[in-house]
Amino acid sequence: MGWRGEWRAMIELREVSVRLGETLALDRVSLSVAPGEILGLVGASGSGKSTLAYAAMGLLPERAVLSGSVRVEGGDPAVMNALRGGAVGMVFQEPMTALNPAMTIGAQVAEAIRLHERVSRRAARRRAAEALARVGLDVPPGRFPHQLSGGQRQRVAIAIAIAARPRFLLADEPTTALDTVTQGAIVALLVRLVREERMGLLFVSHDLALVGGMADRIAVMEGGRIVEEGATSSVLRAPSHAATRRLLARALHRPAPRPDPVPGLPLLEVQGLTRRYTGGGGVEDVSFAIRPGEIVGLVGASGAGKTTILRNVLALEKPETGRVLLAGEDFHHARGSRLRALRRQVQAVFQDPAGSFDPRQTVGRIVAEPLHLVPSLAPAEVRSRVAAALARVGLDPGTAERLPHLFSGGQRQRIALARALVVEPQLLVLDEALSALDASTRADMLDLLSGLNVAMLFVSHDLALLRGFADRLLVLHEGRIVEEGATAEVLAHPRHPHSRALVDAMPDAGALPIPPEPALR
Amino acid sequence: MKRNLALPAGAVLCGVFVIAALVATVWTPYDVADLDIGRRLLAPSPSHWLGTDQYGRDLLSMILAGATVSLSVSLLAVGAALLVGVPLGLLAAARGGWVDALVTRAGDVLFAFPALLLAVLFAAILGPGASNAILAVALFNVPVFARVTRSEARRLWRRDFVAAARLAGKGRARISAEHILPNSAGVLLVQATIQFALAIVAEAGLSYVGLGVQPPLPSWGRMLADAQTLIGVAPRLAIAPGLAIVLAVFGITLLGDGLARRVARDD
Repeated sequence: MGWRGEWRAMIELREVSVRLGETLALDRVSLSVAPGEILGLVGASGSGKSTLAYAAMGLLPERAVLSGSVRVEGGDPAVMNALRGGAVGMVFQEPMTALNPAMTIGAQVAEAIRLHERVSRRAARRRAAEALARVGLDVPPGRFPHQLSGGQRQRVAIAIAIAARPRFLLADEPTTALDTVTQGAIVALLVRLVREERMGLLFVSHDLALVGGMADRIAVMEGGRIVEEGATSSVLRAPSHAATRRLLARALHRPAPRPDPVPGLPLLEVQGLTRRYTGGGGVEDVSFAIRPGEIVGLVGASGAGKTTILRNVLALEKPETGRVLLAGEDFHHARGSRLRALRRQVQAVFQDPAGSFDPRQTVGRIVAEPLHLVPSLAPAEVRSRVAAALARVGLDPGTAERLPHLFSGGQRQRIALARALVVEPQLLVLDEALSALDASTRADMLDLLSGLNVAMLFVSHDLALLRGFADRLLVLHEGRIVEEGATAEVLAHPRHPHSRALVDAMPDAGALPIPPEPALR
Repeated sequence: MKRNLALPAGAVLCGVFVIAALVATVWTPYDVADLDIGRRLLAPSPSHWLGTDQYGRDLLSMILAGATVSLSVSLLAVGAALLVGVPLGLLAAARGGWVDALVTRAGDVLFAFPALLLAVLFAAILGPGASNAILAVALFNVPVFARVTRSEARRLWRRDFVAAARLAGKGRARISAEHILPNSAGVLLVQATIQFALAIVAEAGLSYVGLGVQPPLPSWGRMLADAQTLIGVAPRLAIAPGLAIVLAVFGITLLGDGLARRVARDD
């Protein structure tokens, strides 16, 4: 819509190819963004979308070989520096890495202004305060990054990106690290800024549902090429390329139906759990139960107490009051072989696929670790159980010899899952276990998980993920469970204002102008 | 400069130092206990490459034998400190609470004293000698290693892989040995090289004031002290041991620096 009258591209790539060593990361890509236009660049991980973004910014690694032309309006083509003389602003995925932890946020924004313009310190400070107000940040500029939430940090990063009044903004997965409520707010902010300033915006994401809700045009990438490009509504309504259809299917993905949970005694019972921390946080009087085979989603904004519940359910931490019962037995008072037997029933998959493995151990040793709970296993038996666990999560048993850093994020989460499954637990605790994965890998993992037939406590900030996967939802707000019910019921009729806010913020692929799912298959 | 030149340069200097120390344990050009006033203060010549000192001892032999003393005293001191300090740091991080507070405060108390000065006091009370010098240097390195181990271990204890090990029913001691220690090894190695360089200086300092290794064992520090009165007559007597100390410390520091960069890169 922004490019109807004068066609003057803010940024234009013509026949750009990028070679990284042996691989062709970008293959003759042409792309342009007009003033005031939002172009959504979508693709699975490894499709080349980040390479394209870095090529546009002149931020490619030294070994990359670029051919073709990249032109930025207002930018000197001779200046190939990172920010192209202030003509381009960039917002990264992880705001913490873009901010200096030792400087106040006001000083960082002011510095960004002074890097591009000759203004006095005082004028820069005043404009920094203005920029922080423009991005809707309601904290004083004297704060440090670690004192802010993820969403607030991303707002600061946006303030820095727009501080030099760039004509073009590039956002690389800017909301992937955020919860859905914050994600919605950040996207709305970017759209508002772009419209007001008539900037161009290139929004890179793996989430077609998210991009479909904001972009004027969509470009779909696969294997280093742009395979489809067009107005958002036409791309979503009539996708012409298989890759687009695949991304659409992922956005709408519903896992296969599972057998109903077995009625009977609860597997896990949390009774009146209270655990507070000095300095705030924690949970208060939390009670819930999980039946064998049941999948329960635990949702809430960051800081709501999700991790506290997990740590107590896993007996990594002791509650102040309240009990955690596993098959009727008090988990926190068990000792010795009873404790080991109970530990065999509950295993966990953690959020960060990089931090959950000892970097010095092979995959085989990592997966074998919980077998410590099974007394007197022969080495051959350990090996065969590790191989079986790896096979169960779709990994080649040969991976046991290798070190974890050689694997992709999705594969690492499979390794983490194999480690959890090696003792054949009754209950799996998943702590944001799929958050760090891209949409297609996430869908594969969901399929894998729903085929396991194990009870799960699935902690997530992503309601869209739990829809169609969890049987029940628990909504946690400020340390208390404010709503509990069947997933469909909670999503359709949220009662508590906080659940309503979570539901409203969900990027809704179902509401997009796209054909019903069966047509895609 | 992108290439890590510190590591090979440090390795070469340290290699020379270690080889000199090893060779001197079995052979030196002349016996360092062999006093011969008749051949005192000879200038450098083909038979005495660095000349002789005021008692007629071959200076090169003294330097080589001094390397052995310096290396063995520092090695024993740092090794003993590692053996005590690392388990203390692991324990403090694993247990937390009052154990942690006790280890940390005890370390702070030791840190509060000027180390070398107290080593002097220490040697003065227990009497001079190699073993007391080792003990004094080791004592002041214990809190260094305890502190470094503790902070690295505390960082690692927060990682998810440690939580996974706890879910596997492993106890604190076992997790410390299997996960924490191997992942702290790089940082500890770097710290050990730094402390090693400091230990060489400390040994030289103690010997310089006569509280370190006793004659007839040569020591770079004592050679410096002995050369003091003759600095105008035969400056090489001071320059040779001084240069030996500087090069040894420089080599170890370079090695530590190179290792630190490699450890940082691996992380």
